[in-house]
Amino acid sequence: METTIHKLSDNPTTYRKLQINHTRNKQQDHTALMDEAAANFRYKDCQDEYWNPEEFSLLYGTPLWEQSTPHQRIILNHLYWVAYYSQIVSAEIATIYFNQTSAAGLYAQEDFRLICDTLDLESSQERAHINAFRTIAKQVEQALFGELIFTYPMRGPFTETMVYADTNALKTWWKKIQLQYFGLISANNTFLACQYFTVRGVRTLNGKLVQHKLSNYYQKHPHQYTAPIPAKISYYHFLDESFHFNSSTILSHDVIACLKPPTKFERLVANLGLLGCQRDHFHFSAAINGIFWYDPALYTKIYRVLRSPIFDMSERDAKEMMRRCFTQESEGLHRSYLTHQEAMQSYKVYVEKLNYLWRRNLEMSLMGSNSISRYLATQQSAFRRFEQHHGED
Amino acid sequence: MSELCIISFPKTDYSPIALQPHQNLSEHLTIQNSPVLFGCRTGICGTCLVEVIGDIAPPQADEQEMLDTLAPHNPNARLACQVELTANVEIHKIEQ
Repeated sequence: METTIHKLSDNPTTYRKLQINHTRNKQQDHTALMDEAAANFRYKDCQDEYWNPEEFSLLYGTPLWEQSTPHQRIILNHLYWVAYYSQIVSAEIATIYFNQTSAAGLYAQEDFRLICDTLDLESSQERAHINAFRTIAKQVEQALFGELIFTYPMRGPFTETMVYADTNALKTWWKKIQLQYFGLISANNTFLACQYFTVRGVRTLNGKLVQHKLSNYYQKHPHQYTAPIPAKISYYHFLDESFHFNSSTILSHDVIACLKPPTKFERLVANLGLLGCQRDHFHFSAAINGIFWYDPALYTKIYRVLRSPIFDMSERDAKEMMRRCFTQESEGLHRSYLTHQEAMQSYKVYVEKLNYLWRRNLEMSLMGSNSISRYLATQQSAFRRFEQHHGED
Repeated sequence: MSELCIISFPKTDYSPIALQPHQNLSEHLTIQNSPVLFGCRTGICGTCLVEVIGDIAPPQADEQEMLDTLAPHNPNARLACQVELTANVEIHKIEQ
């Protein structure tokens, strides 16, 4: 008797892609190396050298960078690592949660096990990444400032990050409700479970733009054995995330095509999800190239860095430096804008064949409506408020 | 200095790009200066699947395994992130 049950393995190309991805990720898993590197990290062992290419330093190409001493520049390089991977920790916390809810939504698929095993492996890798990033970031900030600045206590998956620090309680609550609701319905809907990976794919595609350059620093290091541990961790993380990006691509491009076309409701939820991603990636930051932070959310943190003994600025000098860095054009700002443009163009190509998407998602028009002049207008207004409300510590 | 390799994109509006031999394409090509989108950059995701015409070394085993899955009937298919650049090449995007 001929079976009428549709199985994932009925599509041999998709199934083969999933098999290769899972098999190679298991074989090349960097968890043990990542854990070992994190355990061996001692800031004093690598505090005098760069961890990233120089252009991946906090506030690179801004007036602060231009007037910093070589020692201060090395610290800005370390702080880029700390700030960048603190944001990645937030993303990975959310990924662990949505991997599970999406896996539940994929149980409804015959041959679900391969996908779920892949997502389990990825979640365990994310936990190792989080441990490594936090171990290093906390040690660095304690050593430099005696307090945590970009690093934060562990949090759940529905908490806003620095991207949204200037939000309000109502918006924060609404975002939390939306994320919780998406988790709930995607756990019972195979299409939405796959659609989650469109958003995850776009976010990882953005990460790859920068993480490839960070990983190259270790890969091309003249003395890999003695290279700084954070650079090594950037490299291991990049390799693990290559498999994660691949899973996102297979699920959101291939597996989703094996399903029935989405209903109106599924299309609505899918498009709202991607629109939310565009909103998250609307901003670009003069402080940190490659993470689409809302810079006013960083003002208090940068202020603390400038007032610390490392930069030793007076209140007035710190604010004046921030005004120059955030409210005026600089090489750093233009570099970040170029990364934002490249990311936006990449997203467009990544989603171009998803025929259920709205035009504004296919064209990434929300993200595309930002510009250097819009950035500067936002900062000038936000910085005036910061100056008014932020008196002497 | 070694002679430069010219990467061209026939039948597109993209200008040719000159690179030193052995330079990594994924460090120099972007979606803005070429038709190639790089995803993972490690030869696994197939986002940068293209047809390459030119005198370059054949794929390694891992790349070949992916090509056998992604483009089994195209002998010129390559993953752009894995190409060892040693000569002028033409790159054509493969529509999947």
